[in-house]
Amino acid sequence: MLKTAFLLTACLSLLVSRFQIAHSTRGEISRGGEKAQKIGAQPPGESAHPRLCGLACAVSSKINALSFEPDIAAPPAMAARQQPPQPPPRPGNANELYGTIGLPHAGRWMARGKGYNKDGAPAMHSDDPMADPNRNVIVSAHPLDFAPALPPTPEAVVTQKEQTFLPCVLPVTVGSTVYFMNEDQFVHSIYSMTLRSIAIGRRPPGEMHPRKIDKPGVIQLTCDIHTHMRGVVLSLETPYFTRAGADGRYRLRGLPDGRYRIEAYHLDAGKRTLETTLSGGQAKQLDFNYVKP
Amino acid sequence: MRTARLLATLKLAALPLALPGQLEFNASASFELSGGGDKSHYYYNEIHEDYRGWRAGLAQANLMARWPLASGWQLQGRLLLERDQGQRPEQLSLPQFNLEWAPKKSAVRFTLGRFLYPFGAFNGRQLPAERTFIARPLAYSYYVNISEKAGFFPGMGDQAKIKADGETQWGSTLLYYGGYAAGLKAHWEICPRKAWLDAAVVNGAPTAGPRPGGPLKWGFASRLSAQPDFWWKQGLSLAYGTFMERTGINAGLEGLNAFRQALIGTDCQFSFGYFELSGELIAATYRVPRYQPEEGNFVPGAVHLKAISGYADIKYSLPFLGGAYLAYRIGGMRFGKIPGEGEQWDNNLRRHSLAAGYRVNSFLLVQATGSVQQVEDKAWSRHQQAFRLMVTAFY
Repeated sequence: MLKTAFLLTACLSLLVSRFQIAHSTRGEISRGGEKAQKIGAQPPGESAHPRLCGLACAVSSKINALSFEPDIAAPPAMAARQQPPQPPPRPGNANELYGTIGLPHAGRWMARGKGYNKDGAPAMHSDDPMADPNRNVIVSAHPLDFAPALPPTPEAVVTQKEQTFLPCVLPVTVGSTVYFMNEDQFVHSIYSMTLRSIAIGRRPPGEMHPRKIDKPGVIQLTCDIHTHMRGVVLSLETPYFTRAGADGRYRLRGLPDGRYRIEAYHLDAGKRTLETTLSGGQAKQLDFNYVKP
Repeated sequence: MRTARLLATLKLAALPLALPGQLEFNASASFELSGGGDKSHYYYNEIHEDYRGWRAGLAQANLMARWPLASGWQLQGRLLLERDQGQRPEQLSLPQFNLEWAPKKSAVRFTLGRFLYPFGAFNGRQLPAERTFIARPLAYSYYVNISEKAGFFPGMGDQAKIKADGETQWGSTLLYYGGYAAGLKAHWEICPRKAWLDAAVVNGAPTAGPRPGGPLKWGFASRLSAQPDFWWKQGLSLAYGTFMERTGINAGLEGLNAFRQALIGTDCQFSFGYFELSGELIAATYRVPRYQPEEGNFVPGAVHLKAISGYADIKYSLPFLGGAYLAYRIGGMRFGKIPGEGEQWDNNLRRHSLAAGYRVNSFLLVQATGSVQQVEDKAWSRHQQAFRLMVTAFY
């Protein structure tokens, strides 16, 4: 009896996993096929990441799940994508940093608008959580004792949807290639105000436009046509970074022993910096506060 | 004591704001360095005749606010401080102040109050930061020989200086340069993200400004805009209304509202890569009284006058310098003949403009525009060049 039940469960699991694989493969192929030609038209030397094809269309709706939130349980395939690139193993690289971010709140009765609100044409803005600066607080650990390897961040995509950058803050390692994609049915003209070589021009919906980020720092994005649009590519000289969760909690795992400068970045409230030392596989709490006293 | 009373008043004034929703506001200020040719005039090239030499100062400041009152209801406004006809920045006005109602799950919304005049493409670019060129297109800035007080007569302001209410009559623009009107407007999204229709009942013809003088003026304006493809925007506009205003000079003229102005216009915009091509073509017809400056009276009846104005812009965004652009505009106006006389009712003209702009950071924009214009059969043709350098800060 027990044997039969075990067999039935195994068969059922096999069927479910096959269905999941078939389903996800079909999705990847159809979405990838649709974008493959456009991606193939990129400049030489800028190779498209194969998984970008599948990611592209779904990026704005799925980007929430793709954000680096180790606290959230995710299926293995997704979890692999969520993990920041790991450096070569070295002794004592099991340290952990966690904490909470005190998130800023908008004024009670008055706030900065999203631009001139002409009647008949209100400034469009997405309701996607990835458009919310409070959902895009990035915490990064910068080693002070050693220079970490900086593998390019995979699947680094910024889309423009409903005249909004999604995500509004994208963290990448310096040297990564960021793909810009217009998901609206009208043109955008994206450029950076801090790295002027990023100027995408007026591009059709659905096309990926890669740009290599070769300088570290805060790269501010805007649109020449919709000037209320704002976003940031956070180019980091460290592979250790994460995006805080909706509850303001963050967790950084796999940090080698050493001294670190820990930075939190918020689109509106800017940077907060702390220093700490980690050793012997410890788990340390470090909180940031953006709330005005 | 006085301070305490003032504080109490301010606190009371702020109380209602705290009740329904969050008040959103933005602001901008534009500083300008300008200079013009020796025959510059505000009514011809937006450089006042007393300020033809180089001068620098505040050109315009704006405070914009939006206040959601309840679901679907909002108040919005714009407080503007600008130069009074190109002179000093002393003119404070409220060009936009309206209540908007957008019923839930409806493709139509309504606006009551002062709102953007739904005609043409340029009215949607009210703030300096939204414009490629600092100066307005000719249809919105060049004063033609028709005045809301003195009707039509040739050489208005330039050759024949007729005063009404103490002001020399210089004519009026085809479209009121302020770009706003008061009334009731409906906005209908005919096809989501593809086609829209704006229709409004307003306080006068497109040329009529916000002057309070009688008789009660009326008009309507409508604009059908569409986006056939992601790279193409197209608009079609229509407006009609009365514009004459009662004053001493036309006291003997009956039925002022029988004189009308009609405009029809089309505009388009094409975007591809680093280029943007856009343009607008406007045809105007007037039924207007003819004034005789020598006799000081009006010819019985009305004359029918026609004009056409247009411009084409090409804008190139520099691919190696994000936020920078170069642009060229060619604009012109052509005037029909006075019925029965064989002469044009105003002088044809053409204007060439070059512009460059650079967004320094998220709150600072620098723009420069240089223009020359040729006016047919005028001694002062080619003496109305203008240069403007504008720095706009916005919040």
